[in-house]
Amino acid sequence: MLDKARLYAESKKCIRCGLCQAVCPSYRAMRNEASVARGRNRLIRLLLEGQLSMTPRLKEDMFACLGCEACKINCPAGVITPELISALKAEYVEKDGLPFIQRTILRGVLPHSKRFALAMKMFKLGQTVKIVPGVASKMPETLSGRLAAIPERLPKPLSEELGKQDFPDGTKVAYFLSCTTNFMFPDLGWDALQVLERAGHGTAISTETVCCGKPQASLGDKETTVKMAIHNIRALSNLNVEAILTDCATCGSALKEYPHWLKGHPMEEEAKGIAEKVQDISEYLVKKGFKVGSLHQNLRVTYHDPCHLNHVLGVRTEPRQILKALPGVEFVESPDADRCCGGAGSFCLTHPEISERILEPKVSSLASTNPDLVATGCPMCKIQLQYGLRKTDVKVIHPVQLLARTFSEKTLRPDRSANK
Amino acid sequence: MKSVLPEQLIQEMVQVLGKDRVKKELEDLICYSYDSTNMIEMPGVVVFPKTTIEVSSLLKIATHWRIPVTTRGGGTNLVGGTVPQEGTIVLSTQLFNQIVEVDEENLVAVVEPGLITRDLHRAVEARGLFYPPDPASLNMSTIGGNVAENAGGPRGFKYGVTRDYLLGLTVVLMDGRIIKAGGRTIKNVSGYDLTRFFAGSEGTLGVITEITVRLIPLPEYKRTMLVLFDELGQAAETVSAIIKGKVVPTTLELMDHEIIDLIEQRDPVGFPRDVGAAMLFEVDGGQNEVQAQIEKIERICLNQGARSVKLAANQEEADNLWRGRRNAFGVMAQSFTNVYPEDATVPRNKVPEMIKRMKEIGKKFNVGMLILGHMGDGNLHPNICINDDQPGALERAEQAIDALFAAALECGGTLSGEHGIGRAKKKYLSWQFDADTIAVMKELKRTLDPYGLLNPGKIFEVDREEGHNNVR
Repeated sequence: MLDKARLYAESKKCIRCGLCQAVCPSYRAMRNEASVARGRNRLIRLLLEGQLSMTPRLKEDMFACLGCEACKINCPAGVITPELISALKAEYVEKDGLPFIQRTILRGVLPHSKRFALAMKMFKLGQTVKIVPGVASKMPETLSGRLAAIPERLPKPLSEELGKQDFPDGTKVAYFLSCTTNFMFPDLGWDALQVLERAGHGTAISTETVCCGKPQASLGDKETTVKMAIHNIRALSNLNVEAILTDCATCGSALKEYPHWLKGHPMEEEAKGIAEKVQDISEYLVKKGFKVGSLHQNLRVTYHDPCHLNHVLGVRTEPRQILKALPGVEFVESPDADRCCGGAGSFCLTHPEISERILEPKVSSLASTNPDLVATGCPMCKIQLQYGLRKTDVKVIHPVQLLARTFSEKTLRPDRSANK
Repeated sequence: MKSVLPEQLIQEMVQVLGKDRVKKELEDLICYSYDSTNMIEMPGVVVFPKTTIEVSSLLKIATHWRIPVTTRGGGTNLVGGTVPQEGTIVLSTQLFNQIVEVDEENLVAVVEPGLITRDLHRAVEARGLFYPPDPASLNMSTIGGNVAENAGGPRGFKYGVTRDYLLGLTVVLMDGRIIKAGGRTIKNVSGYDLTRFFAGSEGTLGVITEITVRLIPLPEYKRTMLVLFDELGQAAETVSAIIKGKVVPTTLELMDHEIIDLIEQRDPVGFPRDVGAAMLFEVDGGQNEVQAQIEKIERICLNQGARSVKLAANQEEADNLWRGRRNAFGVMAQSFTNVYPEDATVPRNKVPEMIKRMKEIGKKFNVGMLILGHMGDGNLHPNICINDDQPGALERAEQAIDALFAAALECGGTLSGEHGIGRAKKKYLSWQFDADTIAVMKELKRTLDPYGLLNPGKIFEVDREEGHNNVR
């Protein structure tokens, strides 16, 4: 149920200055007052006052928010509009239920590693097997275009390859395995491990965790969201580490939000304990030190700020510091580097038109720097940007992977596999 | 709260724009019922034209049905200027937002009214050109709105306001006629200057659909200086000394002790909390010119007893200082339930007196009187801050605002430097102008809008009397 008193007090804080218009990606795409925090906030206020009911139209306005949280950190009055919107989304899901396909994915697939892996294989098959007429063409380009960013031959999930991991004494860092890293880009996990170990930060990967819960949260599935959080808190609480690192901006932001998701739940305190330890990998590396290899890469690189990294974790300078430290890398800042890419998890699939409108200017400003590579600290942004850049030969990469590449010696991966 | 508009009027508008650009669901009406004040009234329909012809057709329909029209850009004005009359038409320019051309040979840009001010800045600055007007809302406000309110901004001291960059306008009159005022030449004295007539007309005379602005070369260098004073009075006197010293910085922004204290409490940028006032200067121009100005300003400030003068070492330091200034409104909004940002403006030599009187008014009526200001052009921003849970606070705020305008007019100033009159300041108009002057304004209005359909209830009242009622 909605905590109406709290939400109402919050919605009344809005002074209608309209500053959110300047930062809201959906407003820039739609140029409509119902597509910006000030308008959405006003709608929520009138709903709580009983002057508006829970109409399908209001639902659309709420679900057309990308959850980038730019309005929240830029609001002079400090209104937490994203939380109001999340609360209302959850209320709608409670009332209307989830659409079949969303329910299947959010509850039946994402929380279960094996099913996730299987689903990925099926998708990939559907996309690549062009000899079966109709299979590929039936998949909308919004989906198939993004799947193209994922390696042609799906790798074995990292969690399967590693199995259950020990956390021997002296392990300082737990590496939270994001679904995207695990199922789509396991190389990112290996590279992250490599740079952490080279810098002497004893690290182990937590393979007992599941999806962070953000995909469910952003579609209003509060029930599953809470389940995911509880599972992960249990898995992480046992680990005697000083930091929990993420390579995915969205997972990082979700773990940080666990105490909020579990407000009033018996595990709220444990959630706080976890949230305090969560850091983005680049943040940790810059704070605690990192080593750079000698390989000269001769690349021009620009950086895209993932919203969740920028607005929720407050990480902006660290990935840039890493990029600037790499031999032969010329770092170029792009205009509006901090502007949303329009990916926002499943948003690009549920709202393809808005997503494309947000993506288009993003891609042109990245391209205006004429880069060889675009670096970004979020695998979901990577998929969206790679899709946006599909007509160019520019590749998108996580900054940590570019750092790992400077070590021209063999990567850790073969050594590890040999030990198994 | 249901739409009371005739269904046939809606159908006629749909025929012009198509269904998608005529919105009348309750959710749409709610979202177009307000601006940045506390005034709220629900329109009956919101329409989104994209061309001059469409605007002309819409106004013809509205005239036929005698339904008022309120034009709206970003909806960020501070005087209730874009709040419609209940059940009437809001004409949004949000989708009418293209840059028609940037003419580098003639140094002009031609734009549509819904273009966001910042987007014009960026487009011309990318070509080494400059459109100086910089209202604080430039990241949200539209050029059309800027023209209608004749918006100013910090750079007004050196560069002037929106009006000073207008060369030509296309305007649709309420009866649907399309007129072209001005042109694209710098010099132009053919006929009456209708272009400037529409600047600051607050949407009451016509709907502006195309705007030709003058551009200048982008200055090569700019630097930011922070000057601290022990006393607010010293800072005010310094403004006069700067003007007498014939230095024209780009901006000259003042923040009083209370605002600095709030900034440092809530979102610190490193201003010392014990200062009486701080002034931020920005100077621009060629390198030598900038250097000379910096030296001159420093000398004048120190002569006036400034505690310290500091030049920002790099862009990052400068950005940080300006961040403090930009957050000033936010920290007030977080600290008080109601903030009334006013913009009474006085002749520049009266700035010290006006500042003194504003602080006295704050004390007398027991309201927060936090002062910001674009000091160089006498455009002060006293912010009346109250908490509405205190008994009588709203009444005291209103009395303080009355006293403030009286003081500004006694100093030979004006009610509004850049926000406009709108609904909020209607009752004061007769304090500033005699009956004949107001009568001429109304005659002009009647000539262009005989049925009083364009943004009614703004600037002067036709139907009913209303006070300064932007109360949350």
